[in-house]
Amino acid sequence: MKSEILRLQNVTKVSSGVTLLDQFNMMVYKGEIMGLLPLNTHGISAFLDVICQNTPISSGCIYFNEKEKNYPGYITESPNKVYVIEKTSSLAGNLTVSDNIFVLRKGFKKYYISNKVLKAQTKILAEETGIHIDPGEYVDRLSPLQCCVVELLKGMAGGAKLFVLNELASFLSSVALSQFHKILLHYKEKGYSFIYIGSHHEDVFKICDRAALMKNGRIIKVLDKKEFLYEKLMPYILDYHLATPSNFIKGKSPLLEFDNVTTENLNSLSFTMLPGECVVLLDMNNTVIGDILMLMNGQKQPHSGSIMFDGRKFETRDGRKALQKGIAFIEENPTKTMLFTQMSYLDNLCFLVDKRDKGIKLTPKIKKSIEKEYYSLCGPDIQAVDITRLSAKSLYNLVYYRIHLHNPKLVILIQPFSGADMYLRKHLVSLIDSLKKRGMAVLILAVNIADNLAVANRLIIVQKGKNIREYRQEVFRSIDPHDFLVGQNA
Amino acid sequence: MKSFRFLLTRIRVFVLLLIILCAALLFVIFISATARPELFTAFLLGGGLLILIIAGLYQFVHKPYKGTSRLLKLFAQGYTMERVYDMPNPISPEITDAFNRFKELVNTTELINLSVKQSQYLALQNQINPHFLYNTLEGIRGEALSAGVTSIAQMTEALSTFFRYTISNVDRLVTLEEELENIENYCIIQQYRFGDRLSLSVEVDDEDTDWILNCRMPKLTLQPIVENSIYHGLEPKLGKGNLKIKVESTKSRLIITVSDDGLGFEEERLSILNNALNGISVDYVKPDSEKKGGIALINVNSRIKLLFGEEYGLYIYSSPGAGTDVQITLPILTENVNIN
Repeated sequence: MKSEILRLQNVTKVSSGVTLLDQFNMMVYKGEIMGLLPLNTHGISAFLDVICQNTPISSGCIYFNEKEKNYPGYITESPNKVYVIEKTSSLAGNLTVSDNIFVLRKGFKKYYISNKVLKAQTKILAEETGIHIDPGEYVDRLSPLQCCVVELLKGMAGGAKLFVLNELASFLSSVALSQFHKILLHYKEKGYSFIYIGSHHEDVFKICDRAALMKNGRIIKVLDKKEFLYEKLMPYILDYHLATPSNFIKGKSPLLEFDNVTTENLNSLSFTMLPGECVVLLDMNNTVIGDILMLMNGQKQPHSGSIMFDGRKFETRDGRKALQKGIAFIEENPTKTMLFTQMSYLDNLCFLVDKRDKGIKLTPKIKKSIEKEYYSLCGPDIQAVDITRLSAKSLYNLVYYRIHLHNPKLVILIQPFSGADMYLRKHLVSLIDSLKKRGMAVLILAVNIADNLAVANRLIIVQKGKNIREYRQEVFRSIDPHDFLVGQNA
Repeated sequence: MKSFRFLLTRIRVFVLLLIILCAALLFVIFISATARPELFTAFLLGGGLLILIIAGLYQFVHKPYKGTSRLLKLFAQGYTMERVYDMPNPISPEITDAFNRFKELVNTTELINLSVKQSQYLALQNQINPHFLYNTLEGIRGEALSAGVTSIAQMTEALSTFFRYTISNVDRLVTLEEELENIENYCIIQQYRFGDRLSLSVEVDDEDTDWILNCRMPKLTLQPIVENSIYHGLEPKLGKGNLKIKVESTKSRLIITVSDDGLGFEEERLSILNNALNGISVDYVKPDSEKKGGIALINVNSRIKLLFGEEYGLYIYSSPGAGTDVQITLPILTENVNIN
């Protein structure tokens, strides 16, 4: 007989007139990994709030261990023993692992702290996970996988029986994710329960026992493990994979060439890119992205090997003038990091246009002309003064159309689909495609395969800093994304 | 000042006036304290006391009142029924008594009887004379057997068994096993019409199959839902249709999911239906109720909620082209109980 850890029954939460959760139904059993596949981001934070903090709900009821914990008119206002592990860590970076696990724990009342005892206890806990963690190490120095394990142990030490794992694939590499999955399975057997939130069904299906599809704050379908098939999902999801034909020119001389490039994390990395080609560089260990970025923006130079760009050797000084040399970057979550909220849409769009290779002076007349030209693409949003009121889709348009204006030869995208819901991912595919159509080469640096194959002409697998395998677009259909999610083939 | 007719508004106004008066008094003491320093202690004590009183009012009066008020609003909107009889912080003993009297007046037994009567009425439509019907069916079966047409004999037998189950003792709880047998029988009859186009599978939790099959539930809980799935989901669908009944249990609840891979509901229709299923409704008993769809589901849901409480009942997951899952939640009952 199954034991119920959490049940949300017909939970509706309305805030400022917006229905965040709409008759939300979900139950999680003891020793179960329950997947949650949000088709859009609507209601996710409200869901986390109600299960973690018992925030007021408008109707329905929430049960923990089969006991009523929250219903309208009755609020305990005490947080539940639910621990959330997500990209933004809740650990204190300048404290040691053992301090984070035990000292920061709620209810820790010891006046004298014996580091020796704490370290010994931490060591026992860490050994059970099979991941080497030094109890005396500062959290700042840990890898993302180690941080996740420490958070897991911290939650357990605090008495949590239910863990929410929010978008692990967006910050753990394929290899790390595979290792963490093994740890989850171990603790699942010990009776701990998990809610595994993931935007990609490949990721969720790999580890979960059941999965719930969520749309507009409502659960629209619950799938059993036996139903973990793409066909079962088809009526609910948008199919935009492999929609892009190859439109780069084969036989041309390479635009970008890495020849046995070695740095701290790159190990004789070699690859080439043709003009107009889209290459996905899948970093299985989540170590090389930083090095490649620093090489390309002039913050680092290779220990050995060389980089050729547009037929010339790429030097550190070229990297410092990347935009003039025809290289643009789009960071992860660019709407948060690449836009200026105090500037208007048009000013954001024209940002750094005058720093291009053949720079133009941004006179009001030119700005007016840009506005006219891009009105057809951006719509009335181009006239917006306050960009904070715009939708995520419009902000992504702004980031990508700015790149159109810069018209570089190469665009480097870092995890372009990170944090985007299904509808936004479909839009991003069309935006990346628009870059390709304008003849730009696109290099995508990613730690998971996600939707990258939808736009790629070539996939390069990088493990331990080395190019270990390449796939051309023609064979993408034969690739099983699971292999890269867990790094089995690598 | 229309709202002044409410006592609460008057209480609020007078409490506010009292606080203002206290604050004014404190202010006077403060002014006097500048001339006579010995009054400063009195000012501090008075100020502290006022803050304590305000904090106490907020914690012990305002916050519980907000909770009670929200509960009453939900009752008025039809979201909850049982909870108002057991409010954590009732406004006054008289209001509690009034609600208890109200509870007696709207005794749920009446509603249960209404629900049972509706089921009996539906059964009566086919009944007229059950013995005459059974005898006739047996007669047809005998004729078919003697003519060597076994398919007709089997169909007649299934029909006879189905009628017998449907008509008799509607007001008692049956085991899940009996309900599932009836569904299998019902599907045999339907398969004569649909042939290979209809298939049924039943999945029961492996660990406690015998125990689960012995759990009790209201008679004819599953059949209306299966019928609904066949007529609205699978019949209009081109090609093969699959019906699946999945049974799970926890310590306190039995969860049965009836799934079909038929046409599914439009989002708007689904939302209306789930809203209707969220509360208790006896609208389906009204004469014009036939005009609306999903009557069977609302009927079953209302019966479950009336019998066992608001936390049980039906919930529908559906999407156009993806099929429909009807989730039935029931309490775990292993003893037979007369539901009247």
